[in-house]
Amino acid sequence: MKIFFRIMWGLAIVLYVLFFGEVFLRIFSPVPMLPRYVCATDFGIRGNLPNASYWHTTAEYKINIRTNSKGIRSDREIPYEKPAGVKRIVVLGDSFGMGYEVDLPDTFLFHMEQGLLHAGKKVEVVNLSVSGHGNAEELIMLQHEGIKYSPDLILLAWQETDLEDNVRSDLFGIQSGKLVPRSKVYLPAVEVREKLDKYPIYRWLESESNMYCWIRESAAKWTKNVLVALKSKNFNKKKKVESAKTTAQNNYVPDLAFLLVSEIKTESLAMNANLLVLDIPQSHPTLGGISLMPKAISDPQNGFHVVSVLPEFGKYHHERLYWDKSHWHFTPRANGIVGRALARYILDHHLL
Amino acid sequence: MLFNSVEFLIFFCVFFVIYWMAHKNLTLQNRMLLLGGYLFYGWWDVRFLFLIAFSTVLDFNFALKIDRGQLDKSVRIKTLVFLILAGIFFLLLDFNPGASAAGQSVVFRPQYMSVFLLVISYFLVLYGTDQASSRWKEEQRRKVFLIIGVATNLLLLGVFKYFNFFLDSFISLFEKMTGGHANVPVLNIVLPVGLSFYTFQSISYVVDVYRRQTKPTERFLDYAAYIIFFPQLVAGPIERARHLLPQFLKIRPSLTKDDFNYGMWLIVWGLYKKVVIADNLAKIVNTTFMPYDQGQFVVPHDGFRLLVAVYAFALQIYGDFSGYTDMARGLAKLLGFDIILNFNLPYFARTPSDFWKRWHISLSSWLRDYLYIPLGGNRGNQWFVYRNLMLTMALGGLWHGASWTFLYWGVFHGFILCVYKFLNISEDKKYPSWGIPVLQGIVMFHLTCMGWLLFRAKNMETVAVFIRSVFGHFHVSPLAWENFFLLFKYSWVLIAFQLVQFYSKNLFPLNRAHWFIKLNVYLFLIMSILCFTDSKPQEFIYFAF
Repeated sequence: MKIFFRIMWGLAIVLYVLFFGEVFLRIFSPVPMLPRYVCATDFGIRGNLPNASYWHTTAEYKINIRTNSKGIRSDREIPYEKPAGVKRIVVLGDSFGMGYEVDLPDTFLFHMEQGLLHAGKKVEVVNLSVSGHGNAEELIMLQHEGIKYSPDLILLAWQETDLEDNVRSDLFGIQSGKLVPRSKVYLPAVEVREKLDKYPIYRWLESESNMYCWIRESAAKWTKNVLVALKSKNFNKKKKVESAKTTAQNNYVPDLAFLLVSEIKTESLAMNANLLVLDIPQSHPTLGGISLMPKAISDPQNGFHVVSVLPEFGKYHHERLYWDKSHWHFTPRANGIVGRALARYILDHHLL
Repeated sequence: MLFNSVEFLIFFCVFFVIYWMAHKNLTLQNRMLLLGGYLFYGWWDVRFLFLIAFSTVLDFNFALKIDRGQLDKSVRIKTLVFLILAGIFFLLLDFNPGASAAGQSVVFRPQYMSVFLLVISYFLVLYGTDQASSRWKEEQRRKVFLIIGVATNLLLLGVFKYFNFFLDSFISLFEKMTGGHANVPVLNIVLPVGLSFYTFQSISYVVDVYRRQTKPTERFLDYAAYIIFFPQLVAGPIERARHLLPQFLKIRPSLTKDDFNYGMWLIVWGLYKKVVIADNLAKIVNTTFMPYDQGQFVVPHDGFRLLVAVYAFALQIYGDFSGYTDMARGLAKLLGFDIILNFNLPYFARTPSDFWKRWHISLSSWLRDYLYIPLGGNRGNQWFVYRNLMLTMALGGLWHGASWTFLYWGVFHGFILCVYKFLNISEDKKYPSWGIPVLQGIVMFHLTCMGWLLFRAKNMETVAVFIRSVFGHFHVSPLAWENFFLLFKYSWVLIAFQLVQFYSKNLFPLNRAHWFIKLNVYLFLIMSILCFTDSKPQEFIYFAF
């Protein structure tokens, strides 16, 4: 009996601690609640959960994310067969590409599509972006899913987290200067998540509990750091990925990114499609944004079509371009700028 | 190793468990403290360990020489072996794997050979004077060894901390006088962390032995553990041997529940002050001072923003330094030691002398005992007292760092001490109502802030810009409000808690609180620490001193 009461007492304290944490976070440090609903695909990487509808909530906004039966963020179904006379743009990217933190009509892809339609182009955007993807997963997504849509243009939304994600996923590596496959599967915590998502209480926690989101974010940050630290040992014991991405350009991490993007280009050309790379800038207080893209990709001599929005971001740096109180994705304002820049580039360079 | 780092958390948890497993075995516990201290300090730079080993041997020997004139053979051998081993392992050999191009795990560093030989020769000469010094009169001998011991300590401090400063100042003066250009090479000397703290602590030991206020110990390794005691090694409090050293020489009692609770409270509260208050306020301070640190002296039109930055720095430096001290005292408490109080609600001071009885108490009392009183103290006429105050405070300012602004800061405090003394305003004076003491407190806080401006500014142009902007352009911009809001956000808990401490006249009011209140306070502090901490631990400001 005594033990029972002790256990109950301990349980009550734990529940109180969680309750206190929830109240504390709601008052002093609200946590952006951006649940990510992903599932395993047949080809060993993460895809968006099909037919999902969920909310992203922060102190500043609440937006709804909906996916169709193929897990694409869209309100309509997109068949694999391309309609006659329509040019298709397949988009590869992560949460930026998916349009996190903005409503669907505010995403840069929507703006780009509108810009092209206004210019008389019959286009259809197929957004295969999945939050958390790096270039390695994007390549696999293109090989297994993108090809089915018979794309005319591949748009790769490149972001600096790709550098770390490419290493962490360990799907590809470099051997004798060439890209080689390493692992066949990269599904971090997907199995556990799929099981948990079956429970309504867990889904409720994901979208409503500050405490839960805070614990998850903290744990994810730790795990990511540990994974990067462990996997970077494979190629470089002394240099950390953190410093590698910002300083030395001629090392493993940017080289891997370059080789992966080159492979995406090769695959695109094999599908008779052009590759357009969007350089998503990192926020900067006075310049609006800075590019952390490896020089090998952005260098015009290497033949990539790269859209940089740095001049536009510099012009509007005094406006709010990033959600600085949550996950630093684009605001609707920045999405508009990026979408228009993309449409302009595609038209100017006759990529469709 | 920083107190606010994961490495230290792991280190201390492991150390704590092993340390108390050796309870009742004083020798073993002291050896563990010695090894733990060397590991802790060597985390910054292994070479620093040779310096502290030198300082340890130096002051241990001089204290015995002052007291007895001669050193036992065993003492000579023990200390010399200790120093030679320290020289070999910390200075001459580099155990960094892959440090050399050839990939060797151990590399010989010949560039330190001359330093090593010089140090060993110093002690051989010292041991060689045993015969001669035994023939001197006792008082004469005591004085000679006191002077040599203190001078050697000050020489260390001078070389590592002030050499380049004085050389630069001399070159600058020379160039101004002659209009020429002096091409003198400046030595690239790294300032060892906490050098000023442990040097002052060592000097106090030698002086106390000279004054017969402390008996020198013969237990060399226990003394070495006392010098390298990691909780208070790098940023104080500057302990007195008569208070802390005896705690190393007797078996420590078991850790009581009250001691554990108090120690934990000090650690959590100190960590909160450091990572939540100081590190977050540092962002306001650094962004505001940045243009002036970089030499852009434009007077801004929002003086309120600059005033907020000065207030923020007052709270930043308090949170940083007192946070470290609290953690040091808490860690020491968990190891069974009692460390002196270093801060006692300093911003509640009503006069400058009251402030120095509350701020960095261990340094101000050190300066009082080893500088102000030997200079004459309150004896003699008023002008002598003012001179003594000015000199003491100026040197106290310079103790903080080799920079003119620190000197001005010390002089400023010396000046206001003299003014208050001249006006005969004392904190002991009783008033019938609370109005005057509160007003005195507000005035003193702003005088302290003026001092902090001198302390933080990298040059006098910055001070001039701040004064002109605050007094001539007191506009309140949106950014100033934003900074003011952040200042409030990160400091309201400190202010509220200090008011409770002040009015309850109890620095640990929580010990009388109900367990449920304690639980909530701890939860609040821990959640704040976890939510508002930067991912990279920030160094403590006083580590640089």
